[in-house]
Amino acid sequence: MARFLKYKNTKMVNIVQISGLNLQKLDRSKTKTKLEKRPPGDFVVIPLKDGFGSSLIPEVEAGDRVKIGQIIARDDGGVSTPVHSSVSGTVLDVSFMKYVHEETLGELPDEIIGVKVEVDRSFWEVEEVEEVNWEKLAPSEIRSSLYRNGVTSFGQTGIPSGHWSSFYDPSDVSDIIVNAVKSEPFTHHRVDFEGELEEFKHGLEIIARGYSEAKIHLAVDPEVQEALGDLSSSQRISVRSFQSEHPNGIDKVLARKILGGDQLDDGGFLMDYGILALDEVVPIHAYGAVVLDHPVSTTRVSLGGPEISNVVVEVPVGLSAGELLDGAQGYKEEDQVILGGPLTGRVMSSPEIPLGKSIPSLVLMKGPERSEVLAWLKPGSKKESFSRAFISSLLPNLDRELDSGIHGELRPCISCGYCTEVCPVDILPYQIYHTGSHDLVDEVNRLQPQRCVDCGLCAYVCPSKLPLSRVLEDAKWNQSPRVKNYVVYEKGEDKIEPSLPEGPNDNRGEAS
Amino acid sequence: MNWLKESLNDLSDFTAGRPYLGYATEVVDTIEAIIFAPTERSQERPFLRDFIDVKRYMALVVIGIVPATLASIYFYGWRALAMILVSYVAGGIAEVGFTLARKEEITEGFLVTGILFPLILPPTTPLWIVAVGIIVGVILGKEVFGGTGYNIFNPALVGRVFLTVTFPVAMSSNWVEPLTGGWAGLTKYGIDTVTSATPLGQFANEGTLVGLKEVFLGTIPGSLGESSALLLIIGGLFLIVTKIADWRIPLSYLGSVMAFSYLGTFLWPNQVAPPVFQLLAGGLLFGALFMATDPVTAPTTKGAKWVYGLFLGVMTVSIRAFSGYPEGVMFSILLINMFSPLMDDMVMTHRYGPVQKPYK
Ligand code: SF4
Ligand code: SF4
Repeated sequence: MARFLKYKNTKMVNIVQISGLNLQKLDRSKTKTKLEKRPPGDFVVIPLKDGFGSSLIPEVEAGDRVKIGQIIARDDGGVSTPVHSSVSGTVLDVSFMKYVHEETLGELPDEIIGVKVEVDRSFWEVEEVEEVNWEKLAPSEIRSSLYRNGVTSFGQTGIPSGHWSSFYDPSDVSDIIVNAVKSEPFTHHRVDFEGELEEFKHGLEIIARGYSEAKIHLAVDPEVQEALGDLSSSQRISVRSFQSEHPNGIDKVLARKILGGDQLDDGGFLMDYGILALDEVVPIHAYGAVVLDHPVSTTRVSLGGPEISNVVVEVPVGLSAGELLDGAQGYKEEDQVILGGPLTGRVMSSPEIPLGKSIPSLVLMKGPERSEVLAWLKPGSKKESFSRAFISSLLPNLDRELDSGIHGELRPCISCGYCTEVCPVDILPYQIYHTGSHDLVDEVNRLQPQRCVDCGLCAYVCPSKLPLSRVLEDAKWNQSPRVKNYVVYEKGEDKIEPSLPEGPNDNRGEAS
Repeated sequence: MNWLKESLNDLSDFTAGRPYLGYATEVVDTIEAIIFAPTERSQERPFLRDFIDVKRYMALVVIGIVPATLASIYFYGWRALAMILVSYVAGGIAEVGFTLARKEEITEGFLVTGILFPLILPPTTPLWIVAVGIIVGVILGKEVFGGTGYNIFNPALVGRVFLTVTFPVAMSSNWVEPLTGGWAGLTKYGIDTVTSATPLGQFANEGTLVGLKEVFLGTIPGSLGESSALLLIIGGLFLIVTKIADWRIPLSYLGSVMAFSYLGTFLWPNQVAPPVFQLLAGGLLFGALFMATDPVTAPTTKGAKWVYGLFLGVMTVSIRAFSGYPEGVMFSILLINMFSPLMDDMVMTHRYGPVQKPYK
């Protein structure tokens, strides 16, 4: 099952040091985030593709009664993870719906099947279950339990479980990175590291037991470090702490920092190097799945933004984003709702998008309020900038203006070099932009866009306001499949399936 | 200010798409963009954007040159200001004409060209020559390539070179001693009496060196803005601190001039002036801090910036020592500008290897 792709592209570049920008400091709301639970409304729409895997064919039809935790779609022969009903009730409808790519959060329009379930509140109670003594379980049993209960990774290539939940085999996993670093402003930890510490620790150990060959790296930021105290309870779990500088919260960056400089330089997925990256909620899911045998039927979404109070809400999978926002304090109609973080996320196109497991956070951004007069001549004491062109660089403690405005006009690239200076993986976004806009495919590929970790910093700093994030993403999508590090979904007969690059016989991408 | 914004919007809507008036739309939009900050929202990631824009960027370059500009008025009278105004007006007309013909928005790069250009002219340059020079610089140096961002050569230097070859007398023999003491030039319009040679010219012709203190403070004949080393350094440091100019270029340029002139004084003592004198005299500081650092025409990768400065230094010292021109900064920057893309490409080849063809 394993597919190792050691793609020899061109010269490898060792990244000496990954720099970052501390944008978290813009988020001045010092209040601790609360974890709230939210019951479902009248109905939920459960996407049949969530986290990594293909879109499934439902096992239920309109009119069927479903119970919470019941498997409503499963395909043990194709790459996927079973999907469970998140509520009890009656299936109203099974139809195509809008959902997002689990890693880029880009929209996959009307390609995913959704199951609409009307909630029957009389069924809402969850039965008491007996705790399973996971220490007695064999690694393969733990992995089966993870698979059965729908624990999956968000983005990259799924959790190899020995079932078809990933293209990779559990024995391929040599390092597991649990990512508890938040580096983007207005996104918050989805685990309450004080209240849930026990579950989290157990979850980590369960994962460690499930992958007995692998080393576990828990990456934490200062906030979590404080809450955790001392976690070196196990030899195989090592805690690494990182500053909350963007892009430290991105899996690929953590992999580079923890495991060495040149991971991913020649493209492919982290799993090609034996690295499994997991979000901080996965240990909690794993605990629920293995110890309580609970399917993952809820998801946690962090809500944040310059104007609203931080909260993390636990909702049943499939609650629509609109419903969640209706109750949010400080939410205004004209706010832009962003899925993911303000630097890496996507704008939410419709409030009907269901909150599935793949959506970690919603950020509400307001637009610039007024049109400032001669703003470019003012000292700018509240204007954050990577350059030191505003007096704000001398006044680090002043609150900043925070909005989703572009703050300038689109101009041709002036080759200022800010984008390359800020790029954490040391590539040349402006050159990729220049060559890409003239369709010089070979030139673009030479510049190794596959190394880009989609942090968005280049587009953040650009004075010419060029859409560099999109440019880089396009450059990657247009690359040969073997170096690409996104999963691309292809439309099959009834469903869409992940398409991973071909095996070693494929010569594409190599010089001839 | 809402009324102004609204009326500009109305005007823009009124002119848009109409025959003949269509051109005015861009102008109205540009005026609006200059006065009012855009309220547009980012529609794609990132949704948080840096506050810097090209306007701010270019405005800071202008601020960096202000000390030297004030000094030029002090040294040479209000005529200096007149030259700057002529340059802005004439060049502005050329710029607007071209951008309208291309139906694009007017870009901010001109803010910088318009002030840098008069500052590298001799103080006695007739105003009409200033106008001719800036128009040629803007058109041949920038617009024919597609405007700011696409130009290969520094437009101000293109204009200057054009004048040097077209009006050699006005450009190279009409130097005047700056006024000093008391109100100096602040009470006068201009100077048209005393004629002398620049320190570099004196060295080239007679082999005499002017005192370093005079060169440093700027009480020596020279182009409008380049005389006072002190004020140029202050302005240049401002640009470096605000990250507008990259420190690597001036450092490697100046370092390379120092190194090669030091070597040169051993090999050709009569032709090569001593290092510190080379550094402070003529247009070197002005060129290194304000011309060579122009992001559009300089290389962008770090390695290439070092190489760029190195070559600039070699060229400058050589032209100063061995050519018929006492000053070589202008020619060397223009020449090396041409190689910037090549230098960037060499850095990329070093880093990533050559372009591989073809990808199937
Ligand atoms: S930051 Fe923008 S303007 Fe500057 S070099 Fe990069 S793409 Fe060009
Ligand atoms: S190219 Fe841009 S988005 Fe990609 S890693 Fe570099 S800075 Fe981040």
